[in-house]
Amino acid sequence: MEPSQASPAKNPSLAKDAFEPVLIAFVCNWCTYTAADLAGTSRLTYPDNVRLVRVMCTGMVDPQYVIKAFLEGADAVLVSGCHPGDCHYINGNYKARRRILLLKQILPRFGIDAKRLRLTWIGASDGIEFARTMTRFVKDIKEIGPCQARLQPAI
Amino acid sequence: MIASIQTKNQSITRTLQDFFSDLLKTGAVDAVLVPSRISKSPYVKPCLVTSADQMDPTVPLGPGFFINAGPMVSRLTRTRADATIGVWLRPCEVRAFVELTKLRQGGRQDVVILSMDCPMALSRKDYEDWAAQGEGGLGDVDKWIHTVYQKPVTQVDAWSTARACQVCEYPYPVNADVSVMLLGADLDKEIPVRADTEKGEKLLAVLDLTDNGQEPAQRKALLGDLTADRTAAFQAMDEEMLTRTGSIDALNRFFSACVNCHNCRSVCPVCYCKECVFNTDAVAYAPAQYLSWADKWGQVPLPNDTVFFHLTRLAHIGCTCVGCGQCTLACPSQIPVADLFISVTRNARKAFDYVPGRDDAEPLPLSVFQESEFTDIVGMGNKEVT
Repeated sequence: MEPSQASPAKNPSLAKDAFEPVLIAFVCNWCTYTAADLAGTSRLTYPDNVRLVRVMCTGMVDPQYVIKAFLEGADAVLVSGCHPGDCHYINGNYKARRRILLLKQILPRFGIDAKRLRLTWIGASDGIEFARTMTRFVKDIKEIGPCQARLQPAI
Repeated sequence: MIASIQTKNQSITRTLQDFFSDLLKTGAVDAVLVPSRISKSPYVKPCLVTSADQMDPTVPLGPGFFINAGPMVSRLTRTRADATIGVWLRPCEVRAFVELTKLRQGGRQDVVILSMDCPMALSRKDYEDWAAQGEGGLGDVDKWIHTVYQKPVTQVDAWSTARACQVCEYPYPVNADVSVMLLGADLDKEIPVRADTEKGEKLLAVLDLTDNGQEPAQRKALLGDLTADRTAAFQAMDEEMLTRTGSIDALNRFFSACVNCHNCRSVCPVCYCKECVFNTDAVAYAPAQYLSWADKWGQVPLPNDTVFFHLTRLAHIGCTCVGCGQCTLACPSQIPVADLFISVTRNARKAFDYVPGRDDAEPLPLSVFQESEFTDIVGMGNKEVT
């Protein structure tokens, strides 16, 4: 992202009718990233508001990654990995689920709507599911509007 | 078993000092860890005492609480020492230690935990005032003791107890081997002590204390009043925190005086990482990064990563904060860090039905999982993907 693009003063994307949210998606290498790859090779499209961050497992997504994403101006964060039972590292996704649950208790205390943080399971063969999820998430966040941390530094 | 220790010369401090001496003399323990004054300063620190005639500077009960001894007991039990150590801890120190043992940072095998109905604590500034008005460089400890154990109070003379103490959920021993039940006791006469474990029974047996005491008649009712008062105080604090930190803007304002000294982390008994990520190169940004942030918002405050640091810590100790209030005591900028941390964590951990320090057998929520749980947080909303 070009820094100048995100400045609220300069950025018309924050105007209500033309709001273009920034979504950060932490996707696991073995399932959701592979699904994204499949979506691409299948010529499926989804909004370009989503920035993917490939991680080896959702179990390695420390809460601080999610917090940093929000404080740096993400309007929403998605953590997405393998279906239960499919984790390449046996149980990383179960651990991720508890961390996301904890974050969903903490972030709303500071005005960050719990709906802005999602956890999904998208398997390697779910290219269609991947594109659908991204489209749906972007649509939801457009309705909720920009996150406050995007408008002012809170880092 | 419940026994009672006869009060000597109407001094609770002297009686407890003699109690610790007896523990050493009888060989019930090889050492005791107890708060003690350093070179006649009013400040107390947990000291490891092995000599029975070194008890004079100890202050077993008082409003001085400047380090949570939980991690100190963790240090003393990191590996087996081939010795038994009696540790005299406030309830929140016991609970912090229990949390550390769950992380394998210490173990209970070599310690006998003695805990008490808590005498509460003063803020650093109030403590200095309180100490300055007493004799011998220390405030009137006996008056403190006789005031706080008669009925629920948050004020002794002109001094208000720390807010963390005013909202404390466990002002009485949980998970100790021996509980000293001061609340409601006739302290001029005796101090009732209760063995809660086999280890505790053994300790009291060595001292030849007989099972003739009983829990102070008033104690149960007083504990009920205390809990009610503190629950109400917590709710008020929680609402205040929601108002003061309910948005990013408000949160920024709350932490605006923070200088990133990270003292709150240093004194936090459950901030357990050997190496904190905020001490690593992960936060050693390139100069261009700062300029990029400044360009993004028009300005960036330096040092940065202030709110980020606090929110990260909040997430990391979200289930394990014992509410001891040390973070507020240690803050050089007088930010009520503990008020925020206690409010947020006490609500957040409900999701896991977890209470830190309550039970050794309760695993840390983020260290375990079940296959079928919390399925409702997964998915995009309408269509649940599990």
